[in-house]
Amino acid sequence: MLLELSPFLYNTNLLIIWYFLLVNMCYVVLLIESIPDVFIKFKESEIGNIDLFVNSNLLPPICILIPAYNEEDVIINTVQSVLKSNYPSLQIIIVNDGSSDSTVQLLHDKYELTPSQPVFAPKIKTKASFADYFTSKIYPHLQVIDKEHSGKSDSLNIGINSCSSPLFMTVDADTLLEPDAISKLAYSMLSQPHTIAEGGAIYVVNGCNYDDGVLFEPRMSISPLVAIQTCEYLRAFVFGRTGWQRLRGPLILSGAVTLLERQAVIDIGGFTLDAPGEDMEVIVGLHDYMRKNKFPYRIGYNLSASAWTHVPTDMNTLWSQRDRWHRGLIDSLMRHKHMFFNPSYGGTGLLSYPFQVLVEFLGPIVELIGYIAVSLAMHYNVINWQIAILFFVVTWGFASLMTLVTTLIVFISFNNYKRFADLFFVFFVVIFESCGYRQIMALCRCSATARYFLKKLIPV
Amino acid sequence: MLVKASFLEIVIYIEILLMILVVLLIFGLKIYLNRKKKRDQRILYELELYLSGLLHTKSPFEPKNFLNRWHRLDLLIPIFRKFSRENIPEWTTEKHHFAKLMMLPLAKKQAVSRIKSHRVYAAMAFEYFMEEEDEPFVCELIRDTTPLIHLHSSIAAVQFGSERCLYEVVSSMTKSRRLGQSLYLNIFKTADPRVGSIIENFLKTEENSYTAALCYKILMLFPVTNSTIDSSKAIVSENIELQLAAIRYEVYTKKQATIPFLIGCLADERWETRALACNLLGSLDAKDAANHLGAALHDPVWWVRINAARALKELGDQGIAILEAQTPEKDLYAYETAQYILSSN
Repeated sequence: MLLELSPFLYNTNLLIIWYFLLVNMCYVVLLIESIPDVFIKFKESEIGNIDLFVNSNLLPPICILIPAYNEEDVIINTVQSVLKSNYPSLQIIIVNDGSSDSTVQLLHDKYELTPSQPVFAPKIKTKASFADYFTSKIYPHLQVIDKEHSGKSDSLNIGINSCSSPLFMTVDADTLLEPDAISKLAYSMLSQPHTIAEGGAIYVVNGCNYDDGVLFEPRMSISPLVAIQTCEYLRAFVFGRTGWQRLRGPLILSGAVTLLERQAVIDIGGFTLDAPGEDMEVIVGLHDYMRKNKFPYRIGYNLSASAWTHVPTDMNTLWSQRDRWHRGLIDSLMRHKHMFFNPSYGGTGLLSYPFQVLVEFLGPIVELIGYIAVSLAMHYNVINWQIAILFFVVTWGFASLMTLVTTLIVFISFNNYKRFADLFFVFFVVIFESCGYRQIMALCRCSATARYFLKKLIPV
Repeated sequence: MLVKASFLEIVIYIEILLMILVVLLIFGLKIYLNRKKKRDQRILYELELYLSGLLHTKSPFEPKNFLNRWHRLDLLIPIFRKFSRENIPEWTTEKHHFAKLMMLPLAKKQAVSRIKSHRVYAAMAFEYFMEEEDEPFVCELIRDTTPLIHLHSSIAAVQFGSERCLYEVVSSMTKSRRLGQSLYLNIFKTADPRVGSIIENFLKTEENSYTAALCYKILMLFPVTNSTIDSSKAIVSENIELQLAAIRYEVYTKKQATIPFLIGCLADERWETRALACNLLGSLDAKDAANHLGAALHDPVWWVRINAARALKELGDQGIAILEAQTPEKDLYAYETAQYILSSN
């Protein structure tokens, strides 16, 4: 039996190495594709004030939607960061999703809320049957909607119904916006034709010094788990989303800071209620709708529009988060599976969507199989140490190198992290990423995949 | 060693090399951009000193004194903006003259550039000054699909009241999405009343319903004059956008005289028209329409009921009495709508 298995094990190992080489080549292409945008955004951020380009009467009003569920520790900082934005025409709506802590009380105390009864025609059907509306006495453009618990998607849909501006922006309740983030996103939208969605870059705020919505000193957290996540975010946002802009648009924009055209989201029925990853689902939905109807459109990403968010600090919370993200990915891919290699969906159907399926979805499964296959093959002397090293180089080695490269690009271009100590810490962290963290994440995503499909096969 | 390396190893080496090159490229770009920024700041300072000197000494502008390195719109426009913000008296009188001599030649050249940032600056330059011979360039910029470009060039068209360019602006508005249309309308808010007359002339001959609807919306941004527009066909148009825009315009120009017409609209087969009629009757304080609005409270469409209730509240005691008279036994929906509006701000 061992003799029969040997060629199988050998070929499996070779196939997996080739799979990762091709994936790595895709990442290199994305990195190269991202260079022009990094250059443009760096140049724009050096100009500083976008007032030069945009008259204040050309700036469209924007509604900031902040869904909040049990966010008493962070909500005031988030709202303060939005209030300190340099964008002139904002409406802020905080949607309390039935929090059981003191989120609403804190908002009442800080912003002197008074009951109000707005009248609007709801464009999206929502699940929550009642809601109380409040307006701030100090900031008349700040409103709070206090509703029963019905989920983040429903909260966002209620917010969309309430807002009167042509654009709205989703901001997570634990996210600090930089003062010019909204201006930069609005400028990006106006400087490209037919833009219906524009995402910003997310950095990790854990370990940074901030107060009252103002970030004083961005720095890497000394917690290895948080530092690894910081590197992951740098990798995902610098080239993951930037690179896809030129290849017909990213399929994912972070819900923590994304500017969307209200009419376009209403046309697709709003945020999907039962989607685990509502931020990805709305973007894929927009691609699907616009392509199907042959409307010209653009979904973009602005690397210089920054926001800082909290990440999990313990493995249990991180596992739950990544499990939900991966199930969200699979759910969106399954809902729009007709786009897979479908030429009528253009570059999105032929490139972005297949990439998500073959790399983001299959990648953890192939990697896990690879670990098992390499271990077995080495145990039975089917492969030599050189092939084993090749496997680890194309998986761990390449990922580490990619993290270093993207961190260097961010350091060089945008000065978000100013301390050299942080850069050296990244070099140190990338080693640990491949010694345990990466494998746990692969396991987490495989488990999420299994849970998703088992739930479909065995409905509860 | 390289000769003996396997194909897989070669691919790996290439990938690593590419990534190192990317980092070096980004680093090189940053050094280049930093140097360019310092050089630009020096040139900007020189240019600002020169222009300030011209303004304060009231000297005429001599093209031969204008150095080659100053022939850049990306430097001229920030300075022009700065002078405008500082409200220098001499600038107010000389601004057009300087724009014509310094910026216009550059703007005409850059208006047809393939580089988008050049076209943006060209569009911004025409906001300061344009002549009849510049209309083809401005029209081309208005047709550009980039919002920044067509919006800035539209500002120029509206500011200088060029009929040809204005028509291009209105056509461009028709093709844009709602977001774009609302931004375009903002541009007309500060336009000269003469622009309103030009738009009226367009409206008289316009056959496209959506363009005509937009013209009505634009006209509502200008003070009421002796309007010669005949909206009789538009207010009964099959195109709902045109009908609603025309009705609003009629009320805007004729005010109380349209109350009987609006009361008639309460029986229109389209709910949008009924809802708008309720809304406008409230804004006109049409006390004669109170009973009709009370009947509209029982409309099958929620948005009509809400607008009827709001209008009744705006009528004061008479309307509020009608709202308070609603009971759940007679009509639950009318009662709930009335209660909602009575308790709202």
